[in-house]
Amino acid sequence: MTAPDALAGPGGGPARALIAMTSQHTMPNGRETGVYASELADAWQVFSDAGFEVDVVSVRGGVPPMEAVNPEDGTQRAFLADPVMSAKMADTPTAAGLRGADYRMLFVAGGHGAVCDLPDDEDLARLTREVYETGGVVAAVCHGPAALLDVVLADGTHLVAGRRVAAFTNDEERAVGMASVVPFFLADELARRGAVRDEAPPFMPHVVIDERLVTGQNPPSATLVARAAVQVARGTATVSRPAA
Amino acid sequence: MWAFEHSVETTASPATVWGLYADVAGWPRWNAAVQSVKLDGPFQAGTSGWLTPPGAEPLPFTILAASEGTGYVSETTIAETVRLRATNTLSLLPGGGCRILHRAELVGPAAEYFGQSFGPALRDGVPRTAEALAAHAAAVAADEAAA
Repeated sequence: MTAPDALAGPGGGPARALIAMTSQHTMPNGRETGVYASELADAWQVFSDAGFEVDVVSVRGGVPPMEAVNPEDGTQRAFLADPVMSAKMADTPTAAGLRGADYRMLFVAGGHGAVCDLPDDEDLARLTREVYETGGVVAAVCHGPAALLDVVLADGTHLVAGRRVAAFTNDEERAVGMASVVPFFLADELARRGAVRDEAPPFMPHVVIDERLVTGQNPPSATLVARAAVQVARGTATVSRPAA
Repeated sequence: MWAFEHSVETTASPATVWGLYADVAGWPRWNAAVQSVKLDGPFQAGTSGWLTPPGAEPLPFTILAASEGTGYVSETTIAETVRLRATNTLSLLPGGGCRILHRAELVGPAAEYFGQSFGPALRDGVPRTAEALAAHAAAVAADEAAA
């Protein structure tokens, strides 16, 4: 059933949202990683409820690894049991064959592996630019903003330059014992691209809306990021205030 | 509130297990989540120090309460918004051994959110640590009996 206020896609059908994710199985120290399960499931739930048709894409295609799967979480259970999404997750495409104009929404989920392979995915960077430059919403949460690092717009500027952006913070990285494992601090690297760091205290949900760029700080922010992204797509979002 | 507890019985006496608690330098022998603990004083209420998880930076650590032979309560500051409180209790069993009860609880303004995201990993470690302590204590007790 389509949501009453669902957006239409280019062909008149339901608008499509694309969830992008890492294909990284392990961190440099051997720790298992993958797309963060709650962020993936939470975004899917919000977009589905809003009437979007949800597609998925991963860096290397095929079955992406998942991190922190929690069978006690109802949303994750629903996602994993959904036959349509199960089929899509069993054979994810890479970004190479996708067109940004087909999507009203790109949501990049996190998981520590995201900082290892998302920045080097040139096809995903191209797809992200296309979604944004054709009027779509680009959203990312936790380590997902790693996909935005090298997204350069047609005018030669970085997508994040001068924009308020939330991402997993240095303090959060230290708190979970990954400071010496990640190849770089994501928040620092975004700032080097010109992003204006917008942080909340560690592990508190935090969402930043900067025009059609919506970002969130950590896993508890995923649902809020997805909801905000839907509101931006519908033109009903209010710009968030900087974190105190 | 995120909390999880696990109990296990050991043939070792409460005094033996208490000795392992008080010997913080020996914690890595039975707690895989600890690389080292350094206290700035004796193992008693009010003493602070640092707990270093494997491969991570040292975290502020404080003993909130301690009762010799009975148990202790400690807090490890994960971040400014969330702390891990451990309540570890010993109770004597009729045969001379004891029951070890380990309770882990997240406290602070981000405790609920941190628990949702990282609680499952923490929860996995609680029974593993209690079981390892029980086994280690039993081995120590057996060595003491043989000596």
